Amino acid sequence: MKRPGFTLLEVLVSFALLAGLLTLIFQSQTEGIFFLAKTARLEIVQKEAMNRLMGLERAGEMPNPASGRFETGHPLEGGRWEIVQEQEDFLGYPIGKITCHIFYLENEQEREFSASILGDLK
Amino acid sequence: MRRGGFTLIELLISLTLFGAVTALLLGGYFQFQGQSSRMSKTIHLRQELRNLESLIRADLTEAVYLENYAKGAEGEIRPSGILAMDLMEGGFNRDQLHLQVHSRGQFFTGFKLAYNPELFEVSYYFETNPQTGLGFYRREAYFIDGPLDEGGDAIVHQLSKRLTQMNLTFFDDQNQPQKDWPGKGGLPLGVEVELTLEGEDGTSQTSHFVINLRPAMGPGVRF
Repeated sequence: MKRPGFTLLEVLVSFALLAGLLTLIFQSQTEGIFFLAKTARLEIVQKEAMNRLMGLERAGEMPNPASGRFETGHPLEGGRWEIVQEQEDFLGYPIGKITCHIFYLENEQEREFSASILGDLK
Repeated sequence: MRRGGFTLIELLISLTLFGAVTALLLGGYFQFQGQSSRMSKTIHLRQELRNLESLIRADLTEAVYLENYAKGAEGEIRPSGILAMDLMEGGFNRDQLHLQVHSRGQFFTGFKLAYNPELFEVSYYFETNPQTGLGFYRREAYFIDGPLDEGGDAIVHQLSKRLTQMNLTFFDDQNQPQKDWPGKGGLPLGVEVELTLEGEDGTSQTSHFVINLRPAMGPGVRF
């Protein structure tokens, strides 16, 4: 005669399914938090690049030195920055282009963000 | 005949497994809750910072230096454009900022609209209220009825209760940083603003931005 109730195998399978489903939910939530943190970091990176370009725009000359590392205590500590000046051709006219590259660490991997302004230095 | 249901061993194994799975899931859940709560607080602080930044940025960008007003009727020199004081109140960098701006008032709508010269006075300052504690305020006054840093018909808004520092740096004609700006001799080349918000749980967020009022280069300047 077959016993009433679940077998051990059925109980184990249901636990495994429950655990799998809950893990999936947590994983998606954790990813959401990860992307929020990533966005917050990108905001800091973008602001850093723009602030450096604003300083250059105000001075009208390239900073000396034109590259460096972020010091201890800086929100982007462990990263570095670099400002590069180029000439671009715009319909036959030369236009100065100054780009600020920010190299920052995300999960111990180096990422890059860059922003540019157009114009001639003094 | 064998009895139906689980044996003791089966019951113990399934309870142990259930306990282990629940412990893992609860651990993950509480960790997630903690992270999510921290992140949510940070997002709220950053949102408030962005709102403050956009207001201050808009006002600073519209700042004007009025030469005739500055000269005055009897040849006295009155502060105009930007007047800022480095207060260093209680060890904090709580600066005061007064501006003459050329724009439609942000909150002063409807009043004297027919005669609106689009000139307003705007101030940002900290004030401690015995009931509500330290607050950060924006005062918008219809131009022009008194010294830049006082008086007149004004609309005052409390912008934040959590802003603890506003640190301003002005760049003079030689691009040298100055802590104060006297409101004489024109606008600075640029202004650097640092805002610090402190949450209820002690976490803080800082926003740091630069506005150039008279850039030496850039689009529209020299090509």
